[in-house]
Amino acid sequence: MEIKIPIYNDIWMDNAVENLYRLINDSEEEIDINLDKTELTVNTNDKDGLRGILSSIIQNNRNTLIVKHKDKKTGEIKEIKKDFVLIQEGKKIDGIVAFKENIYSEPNKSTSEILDLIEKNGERTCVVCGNTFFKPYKKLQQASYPFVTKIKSLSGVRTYKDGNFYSFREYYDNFCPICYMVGILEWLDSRIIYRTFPGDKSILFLPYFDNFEDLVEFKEEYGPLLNKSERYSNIRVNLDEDKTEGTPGKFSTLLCFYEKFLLDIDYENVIGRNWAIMEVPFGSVKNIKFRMLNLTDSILGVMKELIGENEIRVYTNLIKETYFFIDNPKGAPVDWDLTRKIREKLSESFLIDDFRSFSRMLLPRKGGKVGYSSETRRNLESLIYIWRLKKMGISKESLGSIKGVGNIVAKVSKNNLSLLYKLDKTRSIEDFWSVLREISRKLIGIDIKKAKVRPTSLDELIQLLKDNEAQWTEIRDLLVVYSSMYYAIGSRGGEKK
Amino acid sequence: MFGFKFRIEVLYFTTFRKSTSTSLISSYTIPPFTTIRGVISNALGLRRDDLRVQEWIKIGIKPQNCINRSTEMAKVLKLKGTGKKYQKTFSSSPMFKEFLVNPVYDIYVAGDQEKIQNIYHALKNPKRPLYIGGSDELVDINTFEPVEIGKATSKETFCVMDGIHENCIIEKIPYKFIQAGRNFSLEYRTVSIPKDENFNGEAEIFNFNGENIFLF
Ligand SMILES: [Zn+2]
Repeated sequence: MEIKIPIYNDIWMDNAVENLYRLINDSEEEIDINLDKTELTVNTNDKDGLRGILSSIIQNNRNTLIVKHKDKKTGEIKEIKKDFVLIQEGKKIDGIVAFKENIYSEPNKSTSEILDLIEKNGERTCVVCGNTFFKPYKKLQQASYPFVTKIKSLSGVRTYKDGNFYSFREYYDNFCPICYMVGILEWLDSRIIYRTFPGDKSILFLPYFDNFEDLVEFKEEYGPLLNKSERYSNIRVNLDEDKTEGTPGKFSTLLCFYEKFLLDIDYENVIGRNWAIMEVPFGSVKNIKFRMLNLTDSILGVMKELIGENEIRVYTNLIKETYFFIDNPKGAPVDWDLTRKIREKLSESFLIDDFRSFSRMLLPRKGGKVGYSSETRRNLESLIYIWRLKKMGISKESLGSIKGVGNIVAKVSKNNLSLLYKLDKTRSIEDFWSVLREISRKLIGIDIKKAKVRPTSLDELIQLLKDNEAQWTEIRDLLVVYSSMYYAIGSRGGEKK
Repeated sequence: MFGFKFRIEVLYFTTFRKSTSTSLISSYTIPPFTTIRGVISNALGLRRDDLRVQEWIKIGIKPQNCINRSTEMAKVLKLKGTGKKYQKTFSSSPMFKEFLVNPVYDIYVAGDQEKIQNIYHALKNPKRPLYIGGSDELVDINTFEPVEIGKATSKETFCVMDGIHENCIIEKIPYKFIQAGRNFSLEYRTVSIPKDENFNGEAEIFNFNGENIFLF
């Protein structure tokens, strides 16, 4: 028999095809299988042999679906289904997960039935792949295709019945056995990146390409970064360790992935930059959230340059080293909740190339301020240089002027943050001029020597702004970053050792 | 062959739901061919399940603006009852929903002269109010005069193309309904939606008053 599966252009199904190909290939069984840019072909005269291969890969990779948990009291080892795996589960028997899906509970029998069905030709059209088939093995369900759930009002074609009222033909049945098998086995894919927040949600990342060859190569490259036996996260802290990262959210997870990929992997040409991000909620109703994230070449370039030339990892050496310190006369404890939020938002702003939002995250807030060590500050300056200044063509001297004014803003904001907030909120260059004028007035009130500020930097900044009017927002954002930075340094407890 | 173009502007927001997305609602980037035929059938005043327009025309699509997407949490009502009796309350489920912001498309239809004339007049004076995507998503339609169309001499174009091309959004779009008894199934086409570059391909292209268009 010959099975041909063309590319679906569907994020779940294409990853599933790649996964099936890899599982069969890794099993090192003798079989004629080929994946080119747009199609998977399996060719065999030995249907029983193929059934054997399929059922053994299902058995051998079952560990991808579960984690093992040792009971602290009894020492007993129990299996737990990973939180995001959308396969129904029955009551555990002797601590072993019982999947309510025949292909996982009785792989031999089930794959044999599926292959029999695949072999037959029929008239029905599959709602997922559009090919014709004989009979479904199972209805279209979330386990084989996470984007569906049983909601009648969205899953059918309305039509007349007896010319009187609407009847409703659902199409869950129009699901071919090939799509079922491919889709349900995607849970065995050990290259799905995941991060679970207990009691809340799991986030899954699937790479997207318009051809199978690049998808295969990319997933193969990054595979070693992941450890599938951890429950809540599978990005390894270090390549040769089992420990995984506890990133605070989805963007930080992806950022963390990239810095490891760029630093630890000898990648060839293929670097994926398009991702599907799926959120699977806890609880019984599994309505999922979905978004595509397409990273730009320029952001990838910034990450590469920081790692290549400076060995700075944006997440580990910068964002993960950023804290929110609470103003507290008895020391400076960290607000961990807010710190995690800020770290996640910084990761997001960077990945989507939004410097404005990045700079705002660094502003002091009610009750405290963002702080970091001097080493982290140097990393932040390197990031800003590569991410913003190099591109804008702003010279190092001009940066000196921005920093100088940042220092002034920090000093005059010491007891009153309104100027800093006003600066951040400027919506037009006229607003910006008026804030600069206010800064100039405030200068009169401070002891220049004691405060260690350089008043001429304000003249320079005004000149810089005149010469680069079109880029005024960028200059404003840079000024916000540096003002916040100097504010943090200048305040007690702001500098972390 | 005759043909004409009409411009569909969705007044605010719309969603072209992928039929296999029901645990969330995701949208295609362009209106599916089935949807466009639905608008035409609606303008002609055809009855439900009357699929004749499928046989009459070929369709080309050209997105006119950059398609902006956003998302919301939508409360989706669940269907209850048999439809025989009036139903007062429905249970609901919150669901993640994608929508497109004020998209504009130029749609090209081609076929024999009589059919094209009929469709042209129907779109100018539709039998029923026209909407696209959701039934409360009204559209503004601008029709252009029918012209005779032929194969284009230049292969350069900027429109939705058949198959997979580089630098495009690739989607598998519902093309046709196939009715067998009371069951319907869908035929899909894989299409490439251009982002910013012209194609210069091998495909057969038609000339619509100077515009080169691929017809499905
Ligand atoms: Zn199928």
